[in-house]
Amino acid sequence: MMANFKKALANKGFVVGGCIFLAIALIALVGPLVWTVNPNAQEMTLRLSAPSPAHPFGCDDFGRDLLARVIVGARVSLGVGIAVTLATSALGLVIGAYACYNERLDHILMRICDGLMSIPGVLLAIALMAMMGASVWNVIIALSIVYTPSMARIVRSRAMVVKEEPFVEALRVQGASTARIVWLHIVPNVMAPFLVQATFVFAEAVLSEAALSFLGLGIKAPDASWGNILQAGKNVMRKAWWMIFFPAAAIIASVLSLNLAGDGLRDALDPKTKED
Amino acid sequence: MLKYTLKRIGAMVPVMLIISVVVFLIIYLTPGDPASSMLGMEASADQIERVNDSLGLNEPLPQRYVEWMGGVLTGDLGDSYFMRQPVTQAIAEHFGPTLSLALLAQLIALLIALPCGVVAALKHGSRTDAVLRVVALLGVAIPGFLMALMLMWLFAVTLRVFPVAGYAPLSKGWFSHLRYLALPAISLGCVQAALLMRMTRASVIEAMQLDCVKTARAKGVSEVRVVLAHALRNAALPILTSVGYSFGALITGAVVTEAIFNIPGLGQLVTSSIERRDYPVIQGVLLVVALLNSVINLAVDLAYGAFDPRARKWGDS
Repeated sequence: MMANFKKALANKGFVVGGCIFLAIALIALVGPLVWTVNPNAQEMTLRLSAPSPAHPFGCDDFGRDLLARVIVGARVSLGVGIAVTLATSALGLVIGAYACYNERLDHILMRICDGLMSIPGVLLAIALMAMMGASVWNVIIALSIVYTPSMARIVRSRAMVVKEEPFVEALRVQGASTARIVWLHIVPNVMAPFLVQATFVFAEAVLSEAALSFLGLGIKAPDASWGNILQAGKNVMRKAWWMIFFPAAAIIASVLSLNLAGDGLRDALDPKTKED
Repeated sequence: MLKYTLKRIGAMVPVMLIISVVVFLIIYLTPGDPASSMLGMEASADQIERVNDSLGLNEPLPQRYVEWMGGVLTGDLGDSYFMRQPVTQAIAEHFGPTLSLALLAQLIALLIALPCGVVAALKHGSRTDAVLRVVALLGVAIPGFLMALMLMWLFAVTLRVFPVAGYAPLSKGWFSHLRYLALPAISLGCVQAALLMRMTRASVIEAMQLDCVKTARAKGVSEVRVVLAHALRNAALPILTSVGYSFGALITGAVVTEAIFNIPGLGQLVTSSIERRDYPVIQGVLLVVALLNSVINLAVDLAYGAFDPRARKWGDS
């Protein structure tokens, strides 16, 4: 694991992406303590006012400070991203690692994964959100359901290979329990593709949350999220470019940094899939 | 090949069955009943009960699933609660714009991705390659709906070259059809192009290492012919596969893009049905899209198997 970490740190993409992402996360974390403007305070006289020293990102259609809203939006977006990544990782590891131990279970679980994966992701998320209603928790649940199958499949395909290796066979002959083999020996060996996929799930979750909120199915106003600021911005595009520009830049920066880090991680940990 | 084909089709049946259960359950578990949203706030409990009865919503779950599935197998997806028409008809009416959008986007994606991918592969490691890679990375990071907003701001609002939103069916002529679809298709196609370009680049690099390419070069075949006739031909299969597999991503993208540009396609049908709690329509669209997606993936796999015997080993291990 340490060796892997060192290999990753030697990769430029991983380091650059990781640093940008950490910077965004830091802003989300301490931003509200530094920029103490209330993101929900309405000031009708400032409606759609352009960026100025008092309001560096301008104001939105209700005269709320956009910088404060983008910072709060970062908390929502990254929070959803972290929660979805954790839930997907836990479920994916358990399903993927155990599936390869029981042929019957494997068959059932993998067919369910195939079924879920053949409904395009955002469409499934939209249907799930329609069913559960718009809220942060429901966004997390819906996106976890959407991204778990691909995670489980990746873990499983690697676990299948590891399971056949002589050392696992040896462990089994020595009488190690399935739980011991799975958690102490198989799981550490699937870490490389697992971590790479986790970075991409994070990026996808941030994108999908923005898309859902943009469609009015995710985080509802007055709570700020990058997606719903864009939704409001779409209607006032002619007069207020800053309502599109800043949340869009925030989304692109976080997704780009995560993709960069994910690509770098893959090149470093998984030389076979390296692009060149 | 026949055995492989049958096996592949056989594997699709349980998947489709699971999709149908998932789609059915999603709607079943939805809180808020359609009867009260059809009748409005002032409906009495008695009225709601009667509508529920007439819609068959009071029967036990397995029975409702079997009845619904029976209908699905005979091509009957039920009636829309809101539009007073069969779901199949509603889907058919909204299918055209989505198909047009998806095909046009795919075409744009290929036109961008193939040349860029081949150039990046042939000059890999060079500055051109580095620039193209960064552009592709940006393309993947910018979601379709953001691209759509930016293009709309630039070309429709600021430069006024294209209409801001709306749709003109093909019957109104090619020109206005394409004029309305241009921005949505470009925004959708760019994201797609980024993915395809990466795939093209990787497979051309791999194909250039093949023995047949070395032999062709040794024979003195011109470099253009080496690339077009030998490398690209070997790289075509993985590229075509990702074109086929990307259908799901395109439809997903289309759903959101349609909402932005106000295009009366499947995406708009779903989003407006969600507001109306029109469950049969949501069910129908999910089912049709999942089925289409599976069939296309199957076709891609079969085509792959037909061209590349190594792929037929699937499931034998």
